[in-house]
Amino acid sequence: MAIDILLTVICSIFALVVVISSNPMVSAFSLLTMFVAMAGIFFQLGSTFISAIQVLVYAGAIAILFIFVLMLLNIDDYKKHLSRNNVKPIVGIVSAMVLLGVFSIIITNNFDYLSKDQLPQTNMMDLFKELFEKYLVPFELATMLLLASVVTVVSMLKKSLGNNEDGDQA
Amino acid sequence: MINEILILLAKVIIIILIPLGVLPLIIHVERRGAAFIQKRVGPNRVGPFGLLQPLADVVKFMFKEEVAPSHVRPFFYKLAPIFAVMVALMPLASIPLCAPFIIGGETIFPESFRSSMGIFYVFAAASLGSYAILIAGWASNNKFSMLGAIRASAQMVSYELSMSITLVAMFFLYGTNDLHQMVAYQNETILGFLPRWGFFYQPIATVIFLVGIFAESNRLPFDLAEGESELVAGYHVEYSSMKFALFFMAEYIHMIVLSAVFIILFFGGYNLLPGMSLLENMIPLPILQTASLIIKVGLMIWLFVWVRWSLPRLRYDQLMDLGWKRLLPLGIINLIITVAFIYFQK
Repeated sequence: MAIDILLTVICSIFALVVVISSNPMVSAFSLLTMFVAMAGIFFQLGSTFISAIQVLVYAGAIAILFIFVLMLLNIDDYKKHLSRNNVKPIVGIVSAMVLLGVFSIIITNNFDYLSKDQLPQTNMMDLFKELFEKYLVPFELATMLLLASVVTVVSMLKKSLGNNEDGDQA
Repeated sequence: MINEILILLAKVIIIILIPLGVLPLIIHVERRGAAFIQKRVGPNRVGPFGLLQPLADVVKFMFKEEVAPSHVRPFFYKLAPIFAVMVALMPLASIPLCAPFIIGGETIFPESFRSSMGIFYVFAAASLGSYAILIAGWASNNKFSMLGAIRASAQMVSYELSMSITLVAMFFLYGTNDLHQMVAYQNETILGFLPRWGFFYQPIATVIFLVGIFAESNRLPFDLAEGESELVAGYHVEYSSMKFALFFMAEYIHMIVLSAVFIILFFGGYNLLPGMSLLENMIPLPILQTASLIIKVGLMIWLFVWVRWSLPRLRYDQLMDLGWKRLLPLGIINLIITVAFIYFQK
């Protein structure tokens, strides 16, 4: 129980740091810590496979991509761009509305809380049976979505590269 | 309860002390091996055969003044070396040194962290290793460090992909993610004399995984993160004394861990080497199995040294070509063939 509370506290604190910190690299590293803490929560809930995949995919690959993009971009240019467009109030209003919606759902609905023994002990076999039998179509559709995004990015990149070669970008 | 805690403590201490204890020896072997390959003498002045040289190095590292440049980011600068060693030690928790054995009616598993994650835990923990280098490179606030860190992390992420693909193939072969069961599968023989090692079923996967290990631990021919001729020393330019030694340690522990995983997946893990079963009456089995695993890992370390002084460093575009255009497609083809074989066999 103490471990659960500790993990939740770590997770919330670092999630806050991700948003609050003015240094994007600190945000990225906090995001990483949050992913690892989240894996700990999954482990405590008994789904060990998901927790391993959480670390492998989110902490091991996605957070590193974030850091990569941060290192390769010149962030100060984008900061100027942001302050000129004055998007801060709009972003604030939208996120406040989303947060309000989430809170209202939590308050108005009565959720059943399961104790730890009642949780299903998922192993990989059960997980993949569900994934490939019950949810096969949504799963395949999700992969098609990912493929579409990859193709889009490559085609856009090719276009801009082509412009560079012709010297059209002035 | 106290018994359980004591057993756990013993396991943790043993699994940490073995790599830390052989570390000076590995460094010595590396330097003497380099000298041997290049027809030099190597360090041979301190103690018999120069065996005390690593000890002298440690004393020097300890007493050297620690210099932290003023332009670094202090918190992350101090965090990086600690994080590097911590993350390097983490996968060791799930690596089995011997088969589960029985003492006083109780079955004892040799690994200190046993869960249904099995090999996924080892890979998940090892995948965090690139962050230590990234943090070090970024916190040093120096162009050489930064370039080294970016190179290292790009390389590690790319090669992790092809390693994971081969892992999936091995996963289909063994039908389990439990390291003990994987080793037990390899305990039998094929054709009466060959041990049933993963290597004989999956030679392509073995090669891909081996290349992946070299890239993951940033060793030559993939040590672009430190490329002395271009980057001074890459991500640890700004580190001196014990902080540098911690990075050094982390690299070697990484090598040991990845070699152990490689041995467990492809070369029979802790199964006894041929001829060792003669000693079974004299020495308890768990100790023999541990010795067998350590001997195999030792041979892998010698391979690391051998390759380091035989092959030149790759260029960066060659490195990326090898990872994405050769190893990854090869791994996918290997996976498809493996799956087809297993499907039609059933």
